[in-house]
Parts: sequence; structure tokens; C-alpha cells
Amino acid sequence: MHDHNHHHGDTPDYADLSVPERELRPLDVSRRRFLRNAGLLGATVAGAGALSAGTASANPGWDSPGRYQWLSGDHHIHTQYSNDAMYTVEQQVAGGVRNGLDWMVITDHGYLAHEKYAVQQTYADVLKARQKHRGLLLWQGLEWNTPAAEHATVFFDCSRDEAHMLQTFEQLFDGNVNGTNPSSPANELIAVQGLRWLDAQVRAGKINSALFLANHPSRNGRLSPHELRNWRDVAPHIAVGMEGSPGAQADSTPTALGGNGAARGGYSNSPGVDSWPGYPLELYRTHGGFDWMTAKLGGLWDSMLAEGRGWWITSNSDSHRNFGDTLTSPSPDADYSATGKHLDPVDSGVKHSWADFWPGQYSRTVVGATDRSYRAVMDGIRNGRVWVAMGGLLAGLEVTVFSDEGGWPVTLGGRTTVRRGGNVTILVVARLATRPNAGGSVPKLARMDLIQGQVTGPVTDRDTFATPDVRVVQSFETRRGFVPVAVFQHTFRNVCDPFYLRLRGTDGNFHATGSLEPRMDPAGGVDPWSDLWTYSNPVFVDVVR
Amino acid sequence: MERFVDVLESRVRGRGPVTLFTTDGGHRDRHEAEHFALELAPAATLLCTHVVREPSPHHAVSFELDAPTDFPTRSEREGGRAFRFPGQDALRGSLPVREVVASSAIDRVVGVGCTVTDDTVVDTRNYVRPVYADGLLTLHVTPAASGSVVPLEVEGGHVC
Repeated sequence: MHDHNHHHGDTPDYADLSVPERELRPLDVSRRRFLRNAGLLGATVAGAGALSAGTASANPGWDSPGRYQWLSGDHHIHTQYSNDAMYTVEQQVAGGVRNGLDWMVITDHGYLAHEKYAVQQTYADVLKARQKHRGLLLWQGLEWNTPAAEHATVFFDCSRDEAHMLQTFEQLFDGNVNGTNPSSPANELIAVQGLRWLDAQVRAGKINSALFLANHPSRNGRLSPHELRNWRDVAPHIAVGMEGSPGAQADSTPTALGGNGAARGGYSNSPGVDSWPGYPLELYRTHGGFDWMTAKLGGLWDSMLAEGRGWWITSNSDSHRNFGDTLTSPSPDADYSATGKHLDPVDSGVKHSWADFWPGQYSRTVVGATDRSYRAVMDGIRNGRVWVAMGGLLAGLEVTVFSDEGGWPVTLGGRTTVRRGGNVTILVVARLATRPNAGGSVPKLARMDLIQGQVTGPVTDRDTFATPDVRVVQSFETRRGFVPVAVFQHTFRNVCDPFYLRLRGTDGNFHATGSLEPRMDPAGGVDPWSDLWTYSNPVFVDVVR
Repeated sequence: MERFVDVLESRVRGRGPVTLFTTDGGHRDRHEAEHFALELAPAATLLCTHVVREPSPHHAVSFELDAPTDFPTRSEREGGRAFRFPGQDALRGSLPVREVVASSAIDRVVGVGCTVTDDTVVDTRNYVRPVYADGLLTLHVTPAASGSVVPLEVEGGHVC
């Protein structure tokens, strides 16, 4: 914190050149540019604009992991205000707090009755929950039926009219509300218009900022690579990423353990009417619980990172009904359409084999935030300062990347520069689990893989979903020492071309045959606690000649 | 591959001449398209759904009959998903790949996320919907926890 001047003295962030431009809201970027053009500010800030806020622009300031509070959260949670869920807001919030979360986003489904009746009721409950849980950051967002595409989390930084703005957005752009769900170029355009509209509201100061993250991106194979790229490019400070692993991870719990014996994430589909025809069939299943777009080495996520631009991953619960819970909804689904709300759940006395975990119980998204505030968590997500883990596989992950160029080190989501032929070192401090997870065991990190991908620039075919130059450069076996910390280090020597690096860790229980890669999750039951993975977002390395 | 071709030829020889007809009811829902096709051609031994992307994604259907009809004929099978096909009733319970191919119109079994041999056991889950790929009626299968494989298409998949 010592080198960072957020809220220090009277200097606003936009006039404080130690605050990187990518952390500013678009309005403040305009202010900074105005001052700079007027000669009132030094010209030392790297020249990325507001619209590259999510693209890991050069960072002139101290960016080591110790500068941040790493706050655990979940941006994909349903309540009784979803047509297909049942918990009260308070029940979900209490569940998340019980499971150690610092922040949560309520994301009920876009739906006619939701837009008409539920948004304002939810807001009242969210305000009550904020009063009750003082340490918690709680947003009301929306699970947007993105026209022509999949579901996505959309949420705004707190402002005067956040619920009203959310309702307006849903009314104008939700695929369920407007019948624009089918995949078509016309509906794709409506999705882009939705993001443009959000961008315009931020620029007009109606909302402070907004985030968009694609949920369960591969579940129906309908989210094409060009749609992801279009969203990223039209609103890079809003559309910043996707779920690396879907929720509903309890769905695969074997029947012998009281589960459904179905598929992790509910990923049991095959190509359907809206599916993008170019994908391989492997996409329709999870791999070590992660979505194929993220799990496939050199796959879609890597192909986007190879463009040299940020695209970040998260992990969430997608909680509708939680595994082993005895609560059940007393109201039939038909009631929802009339009220936008299911009656409070009642105790059935029977444990149900439901597909979801409580928020924070299994999956978590850990965000590096400059302070415990709404804005700081959103900035952390926007800048990719995020790692994710299942089943408490890691208690902490501190990543520092140094260039021998000197200058400040950077951490996840950051970008550093090295002179051609120079060296770049990554230092990883993995804090190992010491307490049992919610599955009842202390997870053991067996290995971490350091993955390097070459940055090759913008793709010519926007439906590209593979990139060749991605590999595991080093695998670190975890040796548990006297303290529950594993430290890894690697130096990239004689760096000639730009690249990114990212980390992936596992409990080592299951792999694809003969490889380090996650296996495709088999049908018919996987104990989700038996196959745990953790992923970090990337750090980019630029080369100057 | 040769083996598959042999099997295919022997089966075609055994089935006599048939014509593939097609019609497009514009169904977005696949189940509705299937019912539509079954009502039109209850006697057909092979019926498929086909995804049509334009103008808005929906399903056309095709069906094989050995008598002339008023429906247009269709030559393109690629991408068609067979929801009824010769030998389908034999594909119940678990049986090895060689038996799947020998006892039904399925030309080949292809592993997704796994490799299969003639001896690999397919747990059909009593629900088998092969697709035409590379000109062959293909059953895609994925690994299952039991060590067998299961069809990629699962009955009542999670689509919401």
C-alpha cells in the first residue's frame, strides 16, 4: 500500500500518475487526458485508453501481490427471484459468509416476471442483507440471457439507481424478455448493442462501472469464438472474461454418495439447434471440472491471450439448489410467472441430491483488491488480478513477475516489459491448505504447471479457437515443508518475443492418459472433491527492441 | 475403416432400395420436429433431424422410405441425427462396439475424449442417437466412470 495513493490526500485518482490508467473509470480517463493535454499532468503514463481497461496495459506502478487484499467471491448466485431457484437472498448470503466469502453477486435469471416484479423486491432484500453483513460486499446483478449466446453475469458498481438501471437493461436487452435467444447474426448484434448501451451509461456517469462475464460458456456449444472477441472489443472495460469452471459441480456426485451421478457443471449436452458448428465434441464436457475453453491447453482461452489482450477467468457456484440440503421450494414454477418470486423454501426433512454447492463451498474467485470496496473488487476483476480454485486446493497464491529491466514487478493480470534478450523471472508463493475443505479433507496440492504462451497478435479469423505455441515450461512438484507454503521460481532467459505466462495446479489425482492435462470428466459420477484444480490468470511480457 | 465399409455394404445389400425424403416444418424444438416426422412417415425405418441455421436456427427432418412420396428427396445426409434407424431396438443395455456395428445401421463408434476398440463396451443407457459424419452413421461416445463408454447424446440433456 505504501507506494499507492488511492484516496491519499486531496489527489484524485485521475490526477495521480501512480494509479495506472487501466484502473480508472472511463470518465476519469477522460479527465486525466484533458489535464494531460492541457499540460497540467506529466506525460509518463503509458498511453492505453479507457477502452483498453481490460487489456492489461503497461503498468507503471508497484504491482506486487502484497499490495492487494485477496478477496474471495462468487459472481453467479440465484435466489427465489429466479424462475428455477428457491433460496432467499439472506440464505444465500449467509451460506456464502459461512463459507468464507468476502463478496457476492446475486444473479437471478433474466425473465419477463423477473424484469416486471423481481428486480425491485430483490433490491430491498439486498439492502437488508448489506445492513446485516457489514463486512460483505454484496451486489445485485443479473444473469443476462445474452442474445444469440449463453448466460452472462452483468453487474454495476453501486450507484443511486442501480436496480433501476439493471431493470432497464434487462427490459431492453435480455434474450428471454425479448425473444432474442436464438443464435443469429441479428441477435448477435443485439448483444453487442447491449454492451454498447452499458458503455454509454458508464460514460454518461449513470453507473460508475459495469462488468460482464460469460457464464458456463461451453455448456451448449453456442458461444462462438467471434462472439467472445466481439464483446471484448466493443467494451473491453466491461466484457472482461468468462467462467473458467462452471457451477453445478455437485451434479456429478456418484449415486453411492447420495448424488445425481450426472455431469460436472451439468455439462451433459451435445450439439443443439443453436450450437456453433465449428467446435470439437470435447467442448461439451468438463475437463477436471473446468470448461473446455479454459482447460484445453492451447485452446480458445489461450488463443485469445495469444492476441496479447486480457481475457480473464473466474469460478462460481451457480447456486440454485444446494447438494444435500433439506430445504425445498413449496411453490410450483407457475407461481413464479405471476409474482417474480418463489415462496420461501421449507424444510422437507430429506436430503436432496441437488447439483449445486453453496457460494464459496467449492469454487471461489479470488480477487486482488486495493481495498475492501465495491470499486476495488470490480477493478481487480477488470484487471485480471484473479485466481480461482476448487475445493480449497490453495489457501493463497502470490505471483510476482520481475523483468531484469528493473522497474516494478507485476502480479496476475499485469504486464511487464523486457529488452530483447533479457530475462524475466516468476516467483510463486503457494499457500497450502491447512484445514479441511467442505468435503471433509485437507486438499493437497501435488503439482503446479507454469504455462507459457507466445503472443502472436490479433487473429485474422475471429473464430480461431486454438493457438500452437503454448506449453507447460515447468512443472513443480509440491514438497510440504515445515511451513505450509510452497515456493517456485522460474527464469525465462534470453526473451526475444512477447509472451504470457499462467499457472495451473492440481491435487494430481486424475489426468488424461499419459499426460499432465486434465481428463475429460467421465459420465456416470465423479466425486467433485476427488479431482481439484486451480488456475491463475496470466501475466503478459512485452519485448522492446 | 475397411471393416466399416464392408459392414455398411452388407447392410445396404440387405435393406433394398430406399429413398431419402425431407421436409422442413421450421421446428425450433427437436422433440417437436421428431413427432412431426413420425406423424408424416410412421413407416420409415430411418428418420433424422437436421439443424438448419438460416434464417433462424431450427430443425428440418428426413426419412427413408422404399415407396415414392410427394416429399422432396434429399441427397445430403451429413450432420443428420438419426432418432430412428434400423437395429435401434437391439441397442439396449451394454454391448461391445463390434456388436453395436453388427446389429444396427450404425457404421462406426468414435470416442470423444477416449479411444475405442471393437471390444470396448458401450453402455447404451437405452438411448442411442447416431449422427452422419464423414458419410458414416456414427455413434460418438464419451468415457464413463465404470470404464465403459456412453453415447455423447444424453436423454434429456441440461439445456436451460
